[in-house]
Amino acid sequence: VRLVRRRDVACREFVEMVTDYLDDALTERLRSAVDRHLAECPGSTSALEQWMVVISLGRQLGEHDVEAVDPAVREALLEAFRRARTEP
Amino acid sequence: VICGASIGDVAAIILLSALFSTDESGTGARLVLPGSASTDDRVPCTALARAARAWEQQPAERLVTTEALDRVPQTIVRLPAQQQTVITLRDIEGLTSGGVCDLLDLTPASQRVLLHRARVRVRRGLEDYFTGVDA
Repeated sequence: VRLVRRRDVACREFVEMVTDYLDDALTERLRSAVDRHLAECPGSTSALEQWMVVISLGRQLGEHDVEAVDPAVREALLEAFRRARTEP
Repeated sequence: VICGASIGDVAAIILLSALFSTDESGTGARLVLPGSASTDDRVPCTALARAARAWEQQPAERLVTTEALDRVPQTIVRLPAQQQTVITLRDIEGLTSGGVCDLLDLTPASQRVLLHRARVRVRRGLEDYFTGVDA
């Protein structure tokens, strides 16, 4: 597997896959293709860093006091999720 | 309170404000790298490790301002309920992909789609911040 040769297309494909990549959910071949692309593309490497910043900011918010997450508030969030799911 | 917000939205706003308000130092927090956190052992990837190392080598330039940190919950509370729930559980509470799928009865693929869309929006909300850092 190779990401499409044109650089801008390959970069766009990478961003579409970045969550799967970070969750290690790509096939081995696709992951290798992404690794090869990253090795030669500073732009996508920088984009990857930005995604890691996004994730680490969330973690920082959580690390401050995960215990303080009120179970009732969490339940309300889950309820909102279920409601959104059953809406047409 | 924001007009038109559902009870769930309001609850999430309260949750996220509570999470954020704990940082009162105002000095900006040090980035916690996904690769260096004990919670993350699912990314055995060389490119990622390289990016993480490059990052650790320049901690001074990578300080996160409280303003950037503040923008995350601001963006999350505006997301559709499903994206909001998934990104809160994954990136703030730190649940695993499997944990979120079990809790919400989602397939791994749909879970990742929701997480991806949510992160796209959060990243967009931080664009000024990224531009500033890279400039």
